[in-house]
Amino acid sequence: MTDRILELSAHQFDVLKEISNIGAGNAATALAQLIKHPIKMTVPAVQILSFDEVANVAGGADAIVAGILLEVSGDLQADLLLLLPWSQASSILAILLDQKTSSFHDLDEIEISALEELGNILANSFLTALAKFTKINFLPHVPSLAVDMAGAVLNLPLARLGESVEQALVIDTKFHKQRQSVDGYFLFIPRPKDLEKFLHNLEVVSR
Amino acid sequence: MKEAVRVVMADLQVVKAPIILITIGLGSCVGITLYDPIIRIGGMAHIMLPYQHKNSAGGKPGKYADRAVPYLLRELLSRGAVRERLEAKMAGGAQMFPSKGTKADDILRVGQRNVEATLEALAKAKIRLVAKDTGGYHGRTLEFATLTGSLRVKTIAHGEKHI
Repeated sequence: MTDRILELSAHQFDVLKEISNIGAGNAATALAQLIKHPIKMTVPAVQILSFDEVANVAGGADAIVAGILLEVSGDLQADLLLLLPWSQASSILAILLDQKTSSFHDLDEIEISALEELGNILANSFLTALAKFTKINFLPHVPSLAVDMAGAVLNLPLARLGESVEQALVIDTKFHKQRQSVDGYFLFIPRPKDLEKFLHNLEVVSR
Repeated sequence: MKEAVRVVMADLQVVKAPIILITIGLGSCVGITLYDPIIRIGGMAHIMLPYQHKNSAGGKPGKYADRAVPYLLRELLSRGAVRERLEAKMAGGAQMFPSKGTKADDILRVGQRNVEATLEALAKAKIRLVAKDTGGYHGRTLEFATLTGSLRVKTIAHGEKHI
């Protein structure tokens, strides 16, 4: 077991969940316009997980996932990783592009761009909501896609965190379209040096 | 089915034959195995970062190349392994996210830096590297058979090999 270095107060959890839900709402609106289909997004849970647990939520270290990574700078440095089980990413892609999705290791440029754009929209919606409440300015960079084993996709963002912390903040995200729902996971990983600032600003958000 | 021990991220394990050592989903991380073929004892670490910062205390020794290699070596020697007989194998150190021509690129190459730091640590510990499968742009799962010293490298779209 690792030490629970990353600890959030009940208030910080609540605030983060509320902000995430607002962000998800914005993201759903943007996404609905893109795919011309009503879509809803909710955040059922915000959790702190150890490195190994992070891979488990996505179906295990060997489950095939799509990971869209965005580096964030501005007032603080962080990584944002949108993690989707491949089956889910593939259905979203089919809806986005209105065509059958290629096999995961053989995606064409349009499919790659579409998934990166999905990550972009979701990340920006989340960050906009977060910035509004915490008064922290975020500058997201260009998204980058990897489709492979969950463990492998997670190595890089976790390694960046790994210098001093062994857990990540995970925001569960559900996409609802008509009767179907798709599970995605949003990892917000502030660099260790900026973690305190982030938690402090979360703490002072009043509801 | 032979007994298997899983080595999770930043972890390190030493076992005796016939136990199999497994690590799942190596991306930029490096999996290293040290093996004494005479007494059939083997160790594996799942390395995440090249070096431990001088001012960062504690943490799992398996996390850093510069700590994992000497730590594994000590563990093996304490269980009767002989340094001159040790065979090292390594795999992983891929670049999972393609670079986009930004300044962030350097960080994306953590895989390559992990490989270099592991090679350096092996040389420093005077351990012979007998096989490696590193780099590229895909994830790897490793299974190390302590009965034979064979390292099986599995990928999801780039086949499988024994090194």
